[in-house]
Amino acid sequence: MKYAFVKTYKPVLDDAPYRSFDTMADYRDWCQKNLPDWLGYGRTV
Amino acid sequence: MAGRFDYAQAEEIKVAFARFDVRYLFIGKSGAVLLGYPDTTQDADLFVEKSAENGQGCVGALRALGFELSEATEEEIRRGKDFVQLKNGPFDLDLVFAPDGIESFAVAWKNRVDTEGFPVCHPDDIIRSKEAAGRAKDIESLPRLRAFRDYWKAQR
Repeated sequence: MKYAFVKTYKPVLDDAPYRSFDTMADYRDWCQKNLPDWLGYGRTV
Repeated sequence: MAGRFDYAQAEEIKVAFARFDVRYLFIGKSGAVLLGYPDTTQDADLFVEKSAENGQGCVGALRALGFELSEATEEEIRRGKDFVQLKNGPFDLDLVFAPDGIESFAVAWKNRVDTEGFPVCHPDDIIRSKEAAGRAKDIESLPRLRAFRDYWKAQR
């Protein structure tokens, strides 16, 4: 477990030092619209 | 890009948040990994109780951990915006004040699991939150998370 954490670069997501959202829905929408599909942050339902 | 998140940093979170009396829970995959789920994660996800006092403690703890916080960011944390994502510290950290699929912090706190001193959301709550989020990465991991939850329960 102590070595279970790894780090790779995630385009767009890692390109800002800080972001915040008033609601989780706003965050989910931002992910859907801005992140590459292959990162897996887009909703499937 | 911040450095990788590792177990030692989870311990640093535990110490700093205890020092500032912050009420929080590890949630998401970082929480599951702390319970023994064999997978990897790139950040820590913390479910923080939303209150001005707890937010103020959270700000102090984050500063102690080495996160750079502007006054505006501090205010947002004190106010408890639903989601705050920090990538300007020693590791990536998501502060979640209202995770999908979980009724309230009080309910999650009541259900929590303490493991090696880490306050962690119950696996059922981690699963509920991922089910409600419905992201592709969550859908991929849910079958194995559910199987882990069943194994974890059988061992207790």
